Amino acid sequence: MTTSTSPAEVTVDPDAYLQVRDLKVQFPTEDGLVRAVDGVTFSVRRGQTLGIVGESGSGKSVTSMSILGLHNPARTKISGEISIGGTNIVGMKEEQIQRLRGKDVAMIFQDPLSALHPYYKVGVQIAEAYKVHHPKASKKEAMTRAVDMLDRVGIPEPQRRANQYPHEFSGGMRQRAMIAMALVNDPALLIADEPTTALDVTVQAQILELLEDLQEEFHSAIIMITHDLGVISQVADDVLVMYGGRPVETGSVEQIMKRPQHPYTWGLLASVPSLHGDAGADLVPIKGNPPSLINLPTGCAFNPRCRYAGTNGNLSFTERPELRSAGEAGHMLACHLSAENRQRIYAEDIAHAGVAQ
Amino acid sequence: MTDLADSAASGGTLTTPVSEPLLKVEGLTKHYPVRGGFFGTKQFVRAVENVSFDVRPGESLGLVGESGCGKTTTGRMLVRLLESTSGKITFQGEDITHAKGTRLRNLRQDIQIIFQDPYSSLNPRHTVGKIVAMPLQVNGITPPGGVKKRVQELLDTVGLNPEHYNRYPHEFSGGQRQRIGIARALALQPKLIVADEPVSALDVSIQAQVINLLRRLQKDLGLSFVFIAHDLAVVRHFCERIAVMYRGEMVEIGTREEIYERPSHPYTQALLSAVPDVTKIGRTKRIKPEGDVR
Amino acid sequence: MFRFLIKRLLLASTTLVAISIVTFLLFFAVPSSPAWVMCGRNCSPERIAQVEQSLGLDQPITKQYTDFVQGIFVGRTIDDAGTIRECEAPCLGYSFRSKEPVTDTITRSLPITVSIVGGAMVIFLTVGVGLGMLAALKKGTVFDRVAIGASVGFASTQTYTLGGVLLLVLVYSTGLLPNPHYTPITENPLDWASGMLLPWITLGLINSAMYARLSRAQMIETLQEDFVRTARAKGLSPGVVNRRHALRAAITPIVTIAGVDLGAYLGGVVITESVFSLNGIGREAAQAVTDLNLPIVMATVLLAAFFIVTMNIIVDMLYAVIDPRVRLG
Repeated sequence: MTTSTSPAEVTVDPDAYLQVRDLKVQFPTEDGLVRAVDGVTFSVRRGQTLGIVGESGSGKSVTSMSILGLHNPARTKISGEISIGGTNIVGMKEEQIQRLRGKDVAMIFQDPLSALHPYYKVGVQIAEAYKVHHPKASKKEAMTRAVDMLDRVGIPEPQRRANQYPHEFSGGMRQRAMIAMALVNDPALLIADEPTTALDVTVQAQILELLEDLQEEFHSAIIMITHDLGVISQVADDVLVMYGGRPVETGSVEQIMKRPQHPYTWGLLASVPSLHGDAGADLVPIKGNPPSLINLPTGCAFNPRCRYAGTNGNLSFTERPELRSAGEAGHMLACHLSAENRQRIYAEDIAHAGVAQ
Repeated sequence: MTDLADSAASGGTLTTPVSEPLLKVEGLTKHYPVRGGFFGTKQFVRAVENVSFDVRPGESLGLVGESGCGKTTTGRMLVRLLESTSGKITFQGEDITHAKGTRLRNLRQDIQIIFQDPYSSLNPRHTVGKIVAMPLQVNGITPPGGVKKRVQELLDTVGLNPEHYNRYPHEFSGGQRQRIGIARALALQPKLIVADEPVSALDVSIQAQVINLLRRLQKDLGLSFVFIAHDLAVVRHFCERIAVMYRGEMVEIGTREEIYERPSHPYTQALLSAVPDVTKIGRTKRIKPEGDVR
Repeated sequence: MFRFLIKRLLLASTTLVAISIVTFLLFFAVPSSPAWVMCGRNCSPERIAQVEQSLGLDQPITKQYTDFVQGIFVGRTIDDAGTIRECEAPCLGYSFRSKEPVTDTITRSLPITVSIVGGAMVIFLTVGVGLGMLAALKKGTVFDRVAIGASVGFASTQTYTLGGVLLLVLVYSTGLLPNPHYTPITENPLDWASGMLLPWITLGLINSAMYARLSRAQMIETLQEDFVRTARAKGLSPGVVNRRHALRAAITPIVTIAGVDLGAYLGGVVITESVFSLNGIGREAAQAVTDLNLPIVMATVLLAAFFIVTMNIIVDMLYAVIDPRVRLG
């Protein structure tokens, strides 16, 4: 259980490797204060995968960047707590965070072509990542380690490949190289920000499999950030659904995918076409557009797009819902709908559309 | 019953008899020359190789495959943005493979294209009204009731506020911009729309809005579609027939049921098994395609 | 690489030949004869004919051109009002004004231009690029604003304004610096530098402004690249990220522009040379045009073209060395 400053009932696993409590990330701009992340609490144990789902502007990528301490402190206001292996990095000095980055926490990005430096050989880039955290290692040792890692992530002829430039790799191979670079220091936490979005579906399957195999081997914690619910259901143990910079629903992958409770999660599930079920049925889209983070709707941020807003009096428009238990242990929800209403609506409106069927 | 038989017999009012395909593609091929070797010997990239299919009136044909499979090149050849190397494209019984001048312009009225990126395909300096009216003006068409009225009808059709006639693209969200692109494509009342990844740049919740809109247009206006996409679930939802492409060739074509329930080509099977299934939790078994590591 | 070089060299020589022909034709399209200019106002037609004959201007254009080309490769003999002179290859002709082979004019004036441009380049590549990069790293700070403000100011200043003011303040009023002059570096390096200081500062500062803004924009763009984020995510220190990852990528287009600029400037910096009364290539060329001194015009035009074409080839090859994605062919 958490301290009383966190919203009621939100639990943080005290043994978890990563513990994030009431994280807020704000960017002051000329147009106003951007509340990119506005109070999010979660934790990930080693060997476990947390999926963070959301659309553009949901705050999912900003959350991951702040775990690496990558935001410019001069232009960002961060509050709350990010505890990595027992160390809170919020407010830590840049030099200290540097020692964690790439060693305890590593990250892979969406587009491996732009994420790798075009002028340096792949092996050199991986060796550099190793050498930063192993200053005593010789150049040759670092290079040997880089080739080993390329081999480990399934790149054939790693010796030759290490001497090539990123543009000489295919998309899938590049993402493998990115993963090799992220894992070169055996990080305890790996953040994957849309790692397969830019890849073809067959390559995506290989990369996801690789990540799972490596997780088993290295016993690392993984945060998988994606908009693809299929990817989430394949790799995640727990899921955090974000909207407008705040968590709206969180729970185990079973709870979120099979028994979703929040109208936004319903919307996501109902609007995604599926490979099964009635192809002739219309999808049920979420009306409207994602909100601006400068000017969030008052009350529940989702209320302009929620077809059930107002069901429970005026609450949706006046009061921001906090995360509360959705019934089952570990399943949390920020919604004004009553439990009976949610069950009735889910049974009547949602269960037959899109992938939710 | 007799009425139906009569109208079928005197079917002169129909431009295309129902049995005839609207679009017929035979052996379509596109080779790009690349220079290779020390002496600059000519070599070719076989972007599209011997692709054949047809699209019936009111039908939506899906073209799926991974990057570099030639689906986009095929689409561009259909709307004659690219010249084919060989093969034949027949539209309404007329060979349009090398149509030029006036014929090409008339053809452009009947076959329209929607692009993937709703941001770069609209001129940021033109108002929405101007963008949607452009195809009318270019073709010198004055619709009954005037251009403005027609444009406002089109905006209404695609679910945009007709009052937003004078706004600029940047004032709209991604999904709305894609609607503007659709309104522009509809301006000339085309018979066939080639949609190249029309929803892949959009947020998940917005994709469904646009897919539903396209489905409604197909039903209401009797449009035919060639729907190009990499997302197999989206294609399944939108298309009655699907062609699967791999390395420039069409490896399988069939009805939705045939492709999704009983895929016969190993590549189709591999492709389908690679899609993460939302309804199944945990790792799914997949069929590995040959030459696995790419 | 080899294929590329051969191709580019062929193209370059074609360009140079084309430029020489066009210059020749333009020169003869001018409704005035060099003989008039040389002979002065009250010149009898007989005298003009005599001068024209000695200049070879009575010959057909094609003959004059082939003579010129022959001079470059094998040398030629020149008849200067009865005096026969041997002009050895590479002979760019004979200047009847200064009574010397053109090659002498060039070898005298080129070192001056090279000295001016070289020094100025050191200034704008260090001061300009350095300031721009620093401003990008400190984007939005007072330093950034001052640097950008100053660069806008200098960029909108003309060489003759800045040069004139500097001359007035540093030379004429205070006497802090000697009047700009040229002493070969081999004779007295210190005197060479002090004589060149003003042109260096003038040309250097004005170009620094342009290079500062360019480098700042380039660096800001690069700092937002994904690979810079990756470098930071590895745990590299900001210094290493900026130098090894950002700077390396940001500098590439600047190298290109600097190379092309160098090629253009070596052909003569007319205004700078004129403001400080230094007889570099640019000033000789400008003078030759007013004098209708064809041999000098031809030589300076060809020299300028040669520098530009050569620098372009070098820049392209350099680009392939810096950026592994660029393949020449």
